[in-house]
Amino acid sequence: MKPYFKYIFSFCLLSLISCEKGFLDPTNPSAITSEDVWADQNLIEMYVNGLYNDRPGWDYNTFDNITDEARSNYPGNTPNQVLVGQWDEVNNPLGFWVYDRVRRTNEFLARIDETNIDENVKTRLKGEARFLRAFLYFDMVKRYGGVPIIEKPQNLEDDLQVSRNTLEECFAFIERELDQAIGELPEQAPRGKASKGSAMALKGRALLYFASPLYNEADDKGRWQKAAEANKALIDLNKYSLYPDLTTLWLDQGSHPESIFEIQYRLPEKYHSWDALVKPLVIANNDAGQRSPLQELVDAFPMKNGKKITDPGSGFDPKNPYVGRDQRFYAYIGYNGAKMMGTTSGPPVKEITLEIYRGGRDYDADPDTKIYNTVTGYYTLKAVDPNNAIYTGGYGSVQPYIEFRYAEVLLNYAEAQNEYLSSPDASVYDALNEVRARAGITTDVENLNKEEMRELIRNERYVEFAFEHKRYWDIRRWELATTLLNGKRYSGVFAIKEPSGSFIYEYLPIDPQPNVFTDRMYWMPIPQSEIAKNEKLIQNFGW
Amino acid sequence: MKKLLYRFEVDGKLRLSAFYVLAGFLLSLSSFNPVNANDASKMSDRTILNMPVLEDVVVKGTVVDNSGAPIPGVTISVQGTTIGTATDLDGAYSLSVPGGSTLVFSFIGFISQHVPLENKSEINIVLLEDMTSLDEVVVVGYGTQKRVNMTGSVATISGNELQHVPTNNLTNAIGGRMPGVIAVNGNGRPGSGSSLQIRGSSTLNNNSPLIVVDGIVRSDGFGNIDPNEVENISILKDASAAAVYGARAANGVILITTKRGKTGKPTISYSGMMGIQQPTQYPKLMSSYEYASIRNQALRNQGYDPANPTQSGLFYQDEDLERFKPGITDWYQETFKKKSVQSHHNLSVNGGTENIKYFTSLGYLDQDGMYDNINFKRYNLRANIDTKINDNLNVGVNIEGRQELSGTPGWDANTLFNLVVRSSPLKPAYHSSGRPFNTTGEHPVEMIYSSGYSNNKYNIFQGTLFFDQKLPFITEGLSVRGTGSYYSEQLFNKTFFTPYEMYDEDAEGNIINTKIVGGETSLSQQFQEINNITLNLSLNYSRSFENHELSGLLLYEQYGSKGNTFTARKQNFATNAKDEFFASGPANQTINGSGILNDARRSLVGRLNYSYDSKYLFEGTFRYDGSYRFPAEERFGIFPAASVGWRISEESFFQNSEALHFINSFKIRASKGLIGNDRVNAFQFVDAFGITAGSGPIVGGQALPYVSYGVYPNPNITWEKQNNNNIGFDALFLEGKLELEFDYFYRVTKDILWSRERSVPGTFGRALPNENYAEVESKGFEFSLTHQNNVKDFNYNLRLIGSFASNEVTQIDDPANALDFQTQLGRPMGFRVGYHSLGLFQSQEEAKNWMGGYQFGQESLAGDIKYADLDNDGQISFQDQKILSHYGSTPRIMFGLSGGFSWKGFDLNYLIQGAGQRTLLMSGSGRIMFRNGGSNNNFSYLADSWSPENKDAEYPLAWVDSRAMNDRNSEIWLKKAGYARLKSLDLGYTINSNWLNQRSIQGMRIYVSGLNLFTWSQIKEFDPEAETGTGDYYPQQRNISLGLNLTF
Repeated sequence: MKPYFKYIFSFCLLSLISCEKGFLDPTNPSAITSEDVWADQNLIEMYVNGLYNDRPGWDYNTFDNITDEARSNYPGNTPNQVLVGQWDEVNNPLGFWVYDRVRRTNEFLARIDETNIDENVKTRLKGEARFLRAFLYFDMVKRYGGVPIIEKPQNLEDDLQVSRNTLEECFAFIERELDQAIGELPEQAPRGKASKGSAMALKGRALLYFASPLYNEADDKGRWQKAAEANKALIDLNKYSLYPDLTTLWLDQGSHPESIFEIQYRLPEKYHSWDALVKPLVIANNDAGQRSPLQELVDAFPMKNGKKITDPGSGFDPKNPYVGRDQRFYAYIGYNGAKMMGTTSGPPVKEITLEIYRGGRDYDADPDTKIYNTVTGYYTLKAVDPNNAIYTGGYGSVQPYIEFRYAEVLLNYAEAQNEYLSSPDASVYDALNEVRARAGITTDVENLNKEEMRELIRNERYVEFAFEHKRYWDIRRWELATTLLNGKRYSGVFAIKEPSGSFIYEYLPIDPQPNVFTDRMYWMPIPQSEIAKNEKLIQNFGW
Repeated sequence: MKKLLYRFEVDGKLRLSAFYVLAGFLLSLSSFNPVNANDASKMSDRTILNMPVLEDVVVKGTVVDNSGAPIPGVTISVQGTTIGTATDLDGAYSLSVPGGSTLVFSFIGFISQHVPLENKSEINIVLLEDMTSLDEVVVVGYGTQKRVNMTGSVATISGNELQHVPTNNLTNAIGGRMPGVIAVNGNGRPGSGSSLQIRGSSTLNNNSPLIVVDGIVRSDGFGNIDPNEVENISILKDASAAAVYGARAANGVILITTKRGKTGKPTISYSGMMGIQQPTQYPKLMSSYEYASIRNQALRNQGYDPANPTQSGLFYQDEDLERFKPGITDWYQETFKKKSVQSHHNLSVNGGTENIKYFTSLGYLDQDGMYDNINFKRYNLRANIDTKINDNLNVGVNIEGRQELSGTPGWDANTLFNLVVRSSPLKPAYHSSGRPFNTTGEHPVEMIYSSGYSNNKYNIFQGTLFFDQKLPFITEGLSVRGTGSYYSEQLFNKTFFTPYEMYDEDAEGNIINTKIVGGETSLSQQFQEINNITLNLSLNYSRSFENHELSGLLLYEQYGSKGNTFTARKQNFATNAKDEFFASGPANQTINGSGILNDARRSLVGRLNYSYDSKYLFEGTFRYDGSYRFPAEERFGIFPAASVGWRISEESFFQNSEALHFINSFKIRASKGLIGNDRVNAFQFVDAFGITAGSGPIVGGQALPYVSYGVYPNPNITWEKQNNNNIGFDALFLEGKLELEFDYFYRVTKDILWSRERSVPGTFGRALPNENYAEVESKGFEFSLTHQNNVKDFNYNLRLIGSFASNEVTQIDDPANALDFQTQLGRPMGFRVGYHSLGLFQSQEEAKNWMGGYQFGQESLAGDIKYADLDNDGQISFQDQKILSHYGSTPRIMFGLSGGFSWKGFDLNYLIQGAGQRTLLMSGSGRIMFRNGGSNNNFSYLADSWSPENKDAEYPLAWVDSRAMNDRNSEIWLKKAGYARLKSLDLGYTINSNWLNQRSIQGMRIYVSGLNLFTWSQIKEFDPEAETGTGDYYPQQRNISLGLNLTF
């Protein structure tokens, strides 16, 4: 053997043999292990942070455009499909079958007790996870009725063919979990995280739903009582109050007396499209006019004096229909002649006066761009940040989505208490008047019977919570959705500008097709894929 | 590396000037009238009748291959005599022969030619490569084999043949030319290629084949290797051939072998082509008038009322429609060019002495796209050097460097094609002032010119060092080989994204509004690098003892691939004048990065070949493979294969049979083996958590970081295993004029890594890992029939290939309660499900009377699709679905007819390629009209929508945006997409003349070639190779190129 060959040969062999030991056991560069996570307090906190990401915030444009609140202008988009009944067990844009999110909370609650972290932190985190899990279950139960309650993370070897629990079992679970969370959560939490009040507010809302006609077939009055108590408990906490200004309520990022739980946003990490979608084309950047308030909603706003526009002596002038209304009307609705701010392309913003009339710039001046303008004759101002200059398409808005605000607690209480009693007591009036007073209504409500009070509270929720993704669920739980929607076409205003400069207003149906909401839709269908996988899941009636 | 690249670019410029020199040559040639072989022969044709000549004459000439390169060593003999000579290094010869005799030109690997002397004194020959050669040496995994001894199923193609395809991507060149290859050229974007499958799909996971270049597994594919560097391509199809790649072989293996130096004086070859490209087919858009009038119709269909003043504004009035008739804007025309150019140049030097041989090549490709500012450039450099250190030791080095530069405007091509469909044809593109018109949405033309840029720089480098030491002092035929290879790829992307402006003007041309589109100026840079190291060491043995031939291989190999990625983005630019990070402020900046782990495996490979008397052939192989993707206990798999062959034609009974004399050779082959697949996500056996720092929940105004888990761990995850069987035969008839190869295969892929998402209830709540669960059977056959012949000096060849591959899922997690059409068991992969269409409702009455007037809970209208009530429950619902087609977008049948002629200096090559049993489902903008609330334009074929005036329409009534009832998969939208197309055609002429020779040009060929010239297609809306049915994609291109090959 020639000597150099020996060197080459041994060099090659050596280079092969002396390779790193863990060659086939490299560490994953893009992940950490389960052991790392559960041993480190920071990582455990970060796990719970992730659970907050599972909470939905501002909806793109669906929930407010499928009721008697508003309409989206794109004929074939999701809300317009939903309005004509084009959703089912295969394709349900309103669906919320979120056991993946539930599992994340379950895994946390199953492991947290074994960890070695600060006990106070542990208790708080458990409260947060429990609150978030109860919230997920509530959002499922309000759609589907009873769903399987899974509290512990399953293994693949477990029996995965789970059955549905009853509606009562689900609400009992939610209530029990929230009671525990109320004990675990702190009084004070930074905005965006859950506090004791958050869990109490959810409990108040959940029990109100449980008492409502859809969920309370036997009309058990005790449920109304419990709902009233739960909301009262939060009122009695004396921690929250109504925010005075209806235009900045959603924009104020400081300490907020009315916000009880909210989803926050911040550029560039997390944003939504609220400011971008609601404006007329002349101050819009791509998307526009996707939330046009209906005439029926406009008509529901009371006069400043507290009277309905149809009441005798209300002072409503059909020739000047936008004069003398309560402050919510001006804060929420962009009507012909109102001011609106915005920009087509970045700063600075400019202020325009809405021209919503035949041939008007913000209505139908051009058939090509009419589609980008309002379909009802109104625009949305509610929660819109007039100074936002960088919105475009689905981007650019950061105002928080206030999931629970004190006004809801007051109206929840008023509703439950009114339903529980045979006629409303002073506490009902107080709660209602508190909300109306903030809207600038000068006279208190007096002397109503139970039914009149019910109507008024429902109307109050209609206007107060317009475009807060609440109306759809309210009309379902009151079992009013078939009456309000099925076969109906909703209206907009058509304004004609007179040579004198004044306007003639005509009210015309704007839904091209009648809406569809049939009885079976009160209980949403469990996704067909889930029914196919699990023989024990019984589909809701009619699907 | 950086230094090398820099030099590289300089070389590019040098080479460019070389091109001008050559172009100058060409020009001077055109004014020169060479006395070429063609004219000479014509002249002699006239004289031969009168003047038979019998005395000796001196004949001379040159022999070149069909790329114009001279072939040294060609034997020239006079038929029936012992007179003969051979060509020199320049392919030239000179021989004194008796008049009236016939010359025979022969060379191994080429088809012999018989040329009657007649009265010529100069005979120049183009030898065609012999496509049937039994002597052919075939590259197989970790070695070579003689085709005659092969027992596995291997398809091959020579680099020479590939050079006749005017494509910029090698993957486009092999479909239809190699039996068993399924190729689909999904789009025509500069730099893009075809997706390839060998024998169709065999697993529910990744079905792409393994790519090996010069023995080294490559992660970058092979499409961008310069075809001029390629000596040949082998495709290993069955277990016998592929099992040496064990774990990664289940989808077949593509082996690329590059050219190496040949002994002789240096040969410098230049080849270049320049051509134009244009789309094969792109669906036309609706004209302004069509758009407006059909939108009116759609709104009426939808219930909008022109008499309702809140809705009348949506309608175009008659006078508007008149105004639109001449057409306002055709955004396709505004945005895209009619044609674009591409060019490809390559310069190579080849030569060597007995002790050192070299091949070096430098290539340059430049391809423009359908609009300005999109471009693809590629530089290829290769140097393959072999040295003989002594009689027993050879050492070689292969160096490959490649740079791909692709540039687009700030917006991607797909976005542009999409937006051209989206833009309203009623809005002009520009004001008369020249300012962009405010379309209110996007402006495709401005997006090309004013939206910044996105540039990709992709560099790859591969360096391989290998040695081969013979060990005669141990035993004859034994050698040890070793290879070390380093591969590195670097991707650098820089995207400078600038907003563009659109304007509203008043009647006087003053700006009344400016709309800025695209948000803020931003700069992003991304850097990614991956390094692969391959090491192997093998012991080889090869020896013959009398009738026994024995060879063996034992090899150790390890392969590792790691890398890093880093990205950064900044906004907040003070000015658009400087596209660098330093020119921006600190707001909204992001940085990200991570390590990348692509592969780590260790393997032991063995092979034993034995043949007795060249009649009975046997081969056995195994690979013992360990992969980091699996836990330690499940990591190693053994993948054995065996094959046998019987050359019946060598048996005496065969040779003695008169009846079988027309068969020159006949071999039967059979193989069986187990091969594996591990191409699934790594680390599925650990419970892993990812950390996300941005985009978390916002709390107290701050974005919080969070952790979240990945898939549910599977501690038992291991290899997919494929039981692969192949039987075939090779036959040669009529003195080699006809060759037939046939293979039938049957494969069962077991333990397919499949996550049981379809059967585990969603209440489990976690993403499921891959489990060794599913099973797929696949089978099919392929054949290749080759005919070649020459009649006097007219040579031709013809090859027909056909491949058929089908599959069936034999184990899968069908959901427990699934309806029939939801189950996959017993069905092929990729089948299509949908509703059965009974046509369109022709009247309101018909619609009312069908299923109570409702389908899917929606009221039916005249012009809606009428669906069959397949479950007979009296209503149309999701249960009424069925299997619409057993095949999807991957064709089950692929065929090709290729051939060539050569006559005197002319040669012609063509390929007709086709596919069958393929479907395309129209979807998205291919199906839905007037998206985005009616503002989008549509493809004009959708204008054939139902209306009372157009009752025999192909498509349902017009609707603004999706009408749920009609926007469902049914036969209306599912199109058969079989096709046959003249994929390539290449006509060349080889010039041989003294004039050239005097200028030391040994060979010269000019040619014109075309790609995708004609198409016969089952689908008329789009190109049949379109990857999706949305229509808005970068269409396939037709090329016509002029080319030149020169050899010095």
